[in-house]
Amino acid sequence: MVEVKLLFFAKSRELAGNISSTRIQVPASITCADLLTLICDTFNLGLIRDNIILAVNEQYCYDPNQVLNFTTAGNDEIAVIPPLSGG
Amino acid sequence: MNFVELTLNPLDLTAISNQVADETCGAVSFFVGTTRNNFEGQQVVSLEYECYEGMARKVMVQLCETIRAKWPDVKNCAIFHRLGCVPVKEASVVIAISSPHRQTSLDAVAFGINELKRNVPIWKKEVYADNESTWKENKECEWSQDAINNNNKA
Repeated sequence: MVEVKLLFFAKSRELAGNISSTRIQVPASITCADLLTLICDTFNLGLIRDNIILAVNEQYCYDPNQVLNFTTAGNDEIAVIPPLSGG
Repeated sequence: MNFVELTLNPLDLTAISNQVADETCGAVSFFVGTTRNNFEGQQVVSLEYECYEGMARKVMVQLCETIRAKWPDVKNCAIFHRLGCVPVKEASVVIAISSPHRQTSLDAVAFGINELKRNVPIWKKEVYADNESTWKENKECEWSQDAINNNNKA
């Protein structure tokens, strides 16, 4: 397991208990879908599971089967991205 | 030049126009998104915006470059988004583009706002007169409920 930074925005932040940022332990190698499930189970996001995607190091992860690899340095940043509503 | 800004302050259209206008251009086109006072019969008091700042800035700069790739005659491109509370009638987003002739800048601002709604990580909550509020979802965003429903129909 490695430690990563985890960010929440908008509705996901509110559901997670109004935390914007935390650190969690994740497997060093995991699919996008499995990571999303892990985060949703841990932070009460089951309700919006099908309407969020993750961004890893400021890149959207569109493909649920994509395998993510994290470094032991702890610098990787995962963001929970609910449906966008800019503009 | 590209000008990209995320700010808590009101957007100054004259200042943006001065930044974007150019001696070699015959057109500056603007899109200005403003807070509407109603949604499905409910009275809207304000919108509250937040963003993933580092990523939003990066995607906004990429959007300027995408616009330039599609319309190489674009001279200057400004994408400004206000954050925090934006009261009714005030501007939350401004896209301003200059070009030698008007068709380019008119087409490019339309493309620009649609792309911003689709992929820039910014969120807004609609706040109603009765103190209730709702997180909005752009239909352009691929993982919004609207987009998913439409995909299932297709």
